[in-house]
Amino acid sequence: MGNFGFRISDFGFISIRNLQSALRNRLLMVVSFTVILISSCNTDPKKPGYEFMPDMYRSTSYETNSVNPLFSDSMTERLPVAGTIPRGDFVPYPYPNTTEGYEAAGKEWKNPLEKTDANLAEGKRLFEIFCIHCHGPEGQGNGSIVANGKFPPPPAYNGQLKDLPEGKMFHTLEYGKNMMGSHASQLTQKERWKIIMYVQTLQKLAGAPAPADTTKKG
Amino acid sequence: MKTFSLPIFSLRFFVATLFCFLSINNGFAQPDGEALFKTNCTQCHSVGKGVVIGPDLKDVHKRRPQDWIIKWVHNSQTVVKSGDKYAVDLFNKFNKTVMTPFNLKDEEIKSIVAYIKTESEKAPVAAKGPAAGAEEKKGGNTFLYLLIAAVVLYVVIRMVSRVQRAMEKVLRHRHGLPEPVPVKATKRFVTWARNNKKLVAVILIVLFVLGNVKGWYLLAGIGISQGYQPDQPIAFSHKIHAGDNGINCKYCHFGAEKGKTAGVPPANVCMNCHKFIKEGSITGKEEIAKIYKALDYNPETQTYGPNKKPIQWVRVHNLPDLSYFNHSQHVKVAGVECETCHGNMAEEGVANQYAPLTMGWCIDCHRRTPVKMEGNHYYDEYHKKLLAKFGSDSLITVERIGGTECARCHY
Repeated sequence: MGNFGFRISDFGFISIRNLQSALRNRLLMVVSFTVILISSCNTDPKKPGYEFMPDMYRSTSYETNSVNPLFSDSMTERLPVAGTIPRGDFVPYPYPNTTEGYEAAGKEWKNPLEKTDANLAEGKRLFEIFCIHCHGPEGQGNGSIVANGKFPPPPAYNGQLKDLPEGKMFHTLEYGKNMMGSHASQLTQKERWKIIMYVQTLQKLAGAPAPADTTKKG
Repeated sequence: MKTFSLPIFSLRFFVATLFCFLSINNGFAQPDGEALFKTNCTQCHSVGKGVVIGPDLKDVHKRRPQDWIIKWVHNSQTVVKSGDKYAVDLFNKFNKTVMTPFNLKDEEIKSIVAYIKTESEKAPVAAKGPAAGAEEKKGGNTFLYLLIAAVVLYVVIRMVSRVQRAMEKVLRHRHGLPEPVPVKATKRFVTWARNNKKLVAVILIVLFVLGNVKGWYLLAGIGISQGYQPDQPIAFSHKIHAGDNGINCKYCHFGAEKGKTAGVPPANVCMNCHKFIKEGSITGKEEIAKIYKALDYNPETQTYGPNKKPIQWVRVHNLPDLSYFNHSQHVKVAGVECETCHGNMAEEGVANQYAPLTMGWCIDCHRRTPVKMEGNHYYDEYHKKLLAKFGSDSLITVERIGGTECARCHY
């Protein structure tokens, strides 16, 4: 390289001039490219990574949510056969999804569970999973989704729904009502009764008016 | 000779600095009108989504002058009492519901109106298609940007070195130095390498070490899909659902307390909210329409058809068949929080694998986690025996009730 070559006087010192020459020799280019190549593999989050002998990773049996060629809708999860009921303390719900059914449930359908502290505590816990985001922590229709302005506020338990009988609440959980959908697939009958038990304590809450009322009074 | 190297160096430095600045993500700050609107107004008003408690504020800037709006927001009753016809009519139309007086500055109200204005103009456009720039889809372009940067840098360096060579030539010519004999690139490289043995050695050692380290991690990562975050058929955001809207994990993954799998929620659970919410905050109507399509649901008539087609979500966590895992045992019996194994999904967005799901990871947790004894009366006798065996003040970990035995998970 004659005039334009360079020497390294020390391991720790490479002058800019040296770097330029090195670049011209494409060595550093090659090096940096290799480093980029090496470091860029295996970091794509869209790929599950490498598998060694994957025979046990990919289950041959059908798993809960896996695709199933045996059914026309390709789902492994099946609904119970029509007309069958689960073993245990399940009671078929006798009222149809009509206004008459709603009224009849309100009069006749009663909570079979005893009002114990354990049931109430479990009801509260379940309420905080399944209801709180719309109905709010005290059932006043001010849950987090409502507060975000994404969902219309449901009526307050201690307001408009103060005297709602437990049978009607169960009916609503079974079929849904107005903006509220059915929660029958998420909650067993027992769980529903526990939630209703807790909601009944919220119905008795006095004082604090619903947020809608606050705005009315200014 | 030193004279040319300096400007060339500074040119390269300039290019490098330029790239540094270009790569900084300069997102636009949201006007605080939006935040003000959301904290103060959305309880009673929407923009383009109909009456909530008060009127829909879409195009309110066209209906009313700004001064009037400011007066109204400060105290609507003084406006009504002043006999303003529009105000009186509005008050009567909404059953004499009094709007809360807001102690906001004029500037703040103006920014809210500006926000309503932009929202009013945006509303029909958003209905056409998804809003661009879904937050979750960022990140994939980093490599592309790097590549473009590398190409541009290469071109610049080539150009600069050409210029340098030309200048050297001119200089040589001026000083009457002989033209160097052209040498082949490979030969030039070999000569250079011979002259710089130490540098070559350093580079080789660095490459060797890097390669080993990288190779080690590559091998150690076999079968571990930590961080796996595949594209899903619906651009579902956990951040919006569990984070912003505060929905409990177990509302949708209600299987976590009851069975082996936490479960992908069936589409009827989506419909509990999406019967009403037809437009997402990031992706507009497109993604939510996929739920309707899967259920053959007609949002206009609110009826379901017969042509249901399940949504094929891509599985993220896949524990091999050789080990048994049950959600209810961990979530319900042991009371482990979802976050322990799944991270804070409320901030994560797209579903991803937070935990390594290796056996070491399972065992580590079983060794340090105490057994949840309270409220489990069925095992009261057994728990007493355990405390007698290990000492009443000792920690009864999962390991001590056999949580690290092979057959606990492998059978």
